[in-house]
Amino acid sequence: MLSEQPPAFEPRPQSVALTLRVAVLGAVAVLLFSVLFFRLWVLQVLSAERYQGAAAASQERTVRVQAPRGRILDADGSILVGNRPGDALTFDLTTDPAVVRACAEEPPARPAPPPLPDEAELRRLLKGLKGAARRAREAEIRARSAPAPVRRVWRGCARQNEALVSLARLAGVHIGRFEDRIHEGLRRAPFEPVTLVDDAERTLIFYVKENGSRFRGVRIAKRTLRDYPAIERSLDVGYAAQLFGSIGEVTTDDLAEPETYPGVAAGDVVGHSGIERAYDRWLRGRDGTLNVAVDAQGNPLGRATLVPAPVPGRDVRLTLDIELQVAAERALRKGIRIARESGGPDGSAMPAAGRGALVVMDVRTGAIRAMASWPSFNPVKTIGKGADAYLSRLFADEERAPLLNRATDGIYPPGSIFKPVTAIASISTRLSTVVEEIKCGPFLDVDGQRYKNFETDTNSFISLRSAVAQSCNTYFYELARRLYDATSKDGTAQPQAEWMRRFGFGERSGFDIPDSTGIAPDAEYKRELFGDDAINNRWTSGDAVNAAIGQGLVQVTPLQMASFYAAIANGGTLVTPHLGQQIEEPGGDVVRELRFKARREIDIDPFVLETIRSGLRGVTHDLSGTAVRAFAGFPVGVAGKTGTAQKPPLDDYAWFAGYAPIESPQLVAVAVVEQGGFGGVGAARAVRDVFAHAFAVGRDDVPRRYREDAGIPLDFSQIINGEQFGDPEAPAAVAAATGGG
Amino acid sequence: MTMRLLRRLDLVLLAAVSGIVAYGTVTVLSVTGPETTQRHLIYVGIGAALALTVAAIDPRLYRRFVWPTYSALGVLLVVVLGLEASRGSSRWIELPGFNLQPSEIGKLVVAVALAAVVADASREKAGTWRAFGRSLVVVAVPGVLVFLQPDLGTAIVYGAIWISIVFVAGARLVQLLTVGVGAIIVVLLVFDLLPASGIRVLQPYQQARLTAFLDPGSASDAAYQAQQSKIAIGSGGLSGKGPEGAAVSLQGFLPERHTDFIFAVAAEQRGFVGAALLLGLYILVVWRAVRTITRAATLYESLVAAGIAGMFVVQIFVNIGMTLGIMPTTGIPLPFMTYGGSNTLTNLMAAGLLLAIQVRGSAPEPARLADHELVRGSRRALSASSAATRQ
Repeated sequence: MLSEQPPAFEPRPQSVALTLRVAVLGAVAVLLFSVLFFRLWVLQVLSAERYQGAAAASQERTVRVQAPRGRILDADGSILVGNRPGDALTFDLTTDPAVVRACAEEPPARPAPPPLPDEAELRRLLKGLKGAARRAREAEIRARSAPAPVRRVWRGCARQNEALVSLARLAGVHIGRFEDRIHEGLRRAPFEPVTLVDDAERTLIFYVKENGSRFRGVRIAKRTLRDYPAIERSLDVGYAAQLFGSIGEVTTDDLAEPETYPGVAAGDVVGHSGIERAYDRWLRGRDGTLNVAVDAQGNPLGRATLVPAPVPGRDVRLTLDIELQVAAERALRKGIRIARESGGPDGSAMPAAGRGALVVMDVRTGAIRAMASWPSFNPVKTIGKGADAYLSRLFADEERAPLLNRATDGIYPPGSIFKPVTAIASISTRLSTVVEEIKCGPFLDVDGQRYKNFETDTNSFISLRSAVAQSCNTYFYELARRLYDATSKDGTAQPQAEWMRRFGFGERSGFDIPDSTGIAPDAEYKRELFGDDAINNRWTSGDAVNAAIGQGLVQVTPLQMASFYAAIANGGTLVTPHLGQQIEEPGGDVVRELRFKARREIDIDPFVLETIRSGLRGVTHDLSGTAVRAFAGFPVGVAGKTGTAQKPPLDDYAWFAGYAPIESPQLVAVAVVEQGGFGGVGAARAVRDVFAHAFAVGRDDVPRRYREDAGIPLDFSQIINGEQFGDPEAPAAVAAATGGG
Repeated sequence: MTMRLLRRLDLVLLAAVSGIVAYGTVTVLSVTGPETTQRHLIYVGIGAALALTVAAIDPRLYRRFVWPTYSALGVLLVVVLGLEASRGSSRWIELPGFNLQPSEIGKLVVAVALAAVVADASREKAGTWRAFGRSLVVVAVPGVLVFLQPDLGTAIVYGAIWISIVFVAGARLVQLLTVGVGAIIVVLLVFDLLPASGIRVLQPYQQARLTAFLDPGSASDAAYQAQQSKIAIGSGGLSGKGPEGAAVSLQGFLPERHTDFIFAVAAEQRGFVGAALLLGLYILVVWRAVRTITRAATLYESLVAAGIAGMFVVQIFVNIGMTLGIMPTTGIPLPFMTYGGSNTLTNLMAAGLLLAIQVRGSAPEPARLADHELVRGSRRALSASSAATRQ
């Protein structure tokens, strides 16, 4: 104790009260320390494992290393779809949970729109309405059933993140695109980085690299991007552009159905359409994983390990011949132009002609050698900067539909090129014979209904050959009448429809890329179409007459017509059209040959086939043949058929289907020009031009596979001098053709 | 006399503080370079010298300089606020070679001033509203200045010092409740009512820190720090990863690792065993501080010891609680561990002050415990005992 305690100082406090209060203070301290001890114990002893896992996870970064996708090659190994390196910018979602929460928001469920009424219901709703009023009402009904546009509630969700905002500005895209991608990415694979920019420009990459701290969560990822070397720059289109299809990250819907893409994992890039989808299991490689220890800023520490290593995808070699494809597209464009200039009656213009398709196929195997569809697009522009806008423009262009492969998915009335189907159906059902002469008059009355011929000044009895060569409608009306009479009321016997289906109409062809079925109408189809409408729901003689000349309800694709004419040429084998040839390792070793068995052998009397072939030869060789002008002076024997299909209120559709060489058919080619008028003008010229390239007409210097196979003499001089057309081994046929004309 | 004082020196407190300082130095060394550690050691050296000096001086001496010191603190805090206005957020006054943080040393000034005021008031009658109100004013002036810096953490420490002192001095429950209700009203005003009417009281970063504690999933830096801290501590496990293997703290995932989050670093390196040992050392410090309250020679010294005890407990609990994810991220340093000049000096001087009070006090007299039966309320007991002793 200090002896000299100043009076101002309180005496030493010693009391129970103080002790009590100090005890309370001590108790509080003990309590607080107990809390700390307990919490420390929970973290370090009870949950140590969890936090050790978290520590390891935040210190190791695994980066998906994309396996290069296999290439798509043409028959000679030229690259149709290749790869090029690119830098993508991705965003690590774990760095901004606020953005994740906002962008994950799903739009509120909307009431489903009323279902679109089926055809019968629609007819009932439109009963009594005509013309413009009917069309307006129908549009209204359809609009009511269209799904309401989705309100994108997540829009604006990334706007607080400065890195994303400035990146969007630098990349020249609207931040909304990033937000859409983040939203999609979260639905697809919540922990995978989201790709913001697929193919960033070098300057942007450098900028992001140098200012890394300003772009927290933004990473640069090496990507292999699709490259399309076969481009027609003058027209800004790619060759065979509609065939390849697109690729992209696998969707949640596809992940839910494992058989769609076997072995696929979230975040994998798969083929969404076209060849990319058809051969995805070969083209798709297996992505690898790069594991690297990182510090808090994401800077790598030490060596990275690549486990598992990426496995590149396999190449797919197609049957397509890129040189022939180039020729086919040029021929199609030229054919369309000719049709537009002079496809109409007496060489008048067809101003609406501007679209079409041309397919060239091996008649024996079904291998597609060329497949052109116009209008087209530039696949290079579907990748990288501006791709989204370009694609939405393509999708929005319903008028020209440049993404549509008209060869497989354009469905058209075939018109006269369909007539051989009717002839085979009639003769095979023993309703007529090859030699029977049927009147080719200006009209034919069937069931009290008068059906007019195309030409009015004809009034002779002709046999099958001439009927095909001259394309006499009334001849086929008569066959239709007989086929209709042979059709039983109970639907058990429908020879006309049965033969259509036998030739592959109304069904998918088995093509690598699922194609349209078209329509092979029959009694059942009419019942479905018209439902309870007792007046219209039956198969009538009018249906039969229209179907006989490829009009009315008949709808076909160019590919179906090619299969049919291939069957005529090859003796009745309905091939499976296909593009795939073989699967190869990147080095070129063949992994698997792709085989496409013919769909079926169709039993047709060889005499019937031969007569039809002769008729088809007459089309291009007879004086009265409908395509004789288009093939005048053409050294290779081509047999084919023109078609001028009516599709009111549009202008007539021009068709030509033919095969060559006549003596040993190699290739079948089918061309259609929408609203192109007479088939003998634009469509026939397109086929002629593509055959000219295929058989190296006028080019002695270029040995072509088709020429060698066909055994055509290399010296064309005598033929070109005009001594004879085509087929030197069939003088009888030439004589017959002249006689028939 | 010197020998007698030395003999009475609280060796437990001395050993515990030395142990923590050594622990802190090793930890600072493990996450920073030798330069920073050297600087830390210089602070520790100056602090130790100051602490021993303080221990040798009679604490009653300070009572004579309470008002000049208190006024100086006020001036310095105002200067800091002025500097802040001119150069953005800052808590320091830059001196050659040293950044003075007045709010740190202010903790001791406030503790001494409060003890003096409360002790003065208790001479007449303990627990009066007037004395209570005066103590509140004494703490509120520097407290609000510090809060405005803005330095919420230090303001909280000031509050803890005040509560400890008035509680030990015999504040009535109704008085404490009044302040509690008032605090709730202020918090509501600050967080809800005023912002709703367009007046911003808290800085956005402060708001973020406080809300981050309530919402651990949020994206703010504070939540990230808290999350990384928990990961560091949790991954340390029972026995720790050692200074080399403590990847979370070493590779920069954990921010503020040699300052606010140094406990997390220690816990990751040494595991539960090492962290519990550290907590044990802190318990020794707090125990000795609380013990000093009852051993002090005068009420004034008791109250100074109480203020220091409260200051230690709150700093330890809030800081470690923050690293453990049970308290908000408020930027309160951990006594004797955290790198930094002002707080190292302040805490070591506080320890010195405890030593000074302890050596000049004495053991409680067991006989006085009988008073217990004479009194009902603690306040009345305190006032009665004061009165009795005075007679």
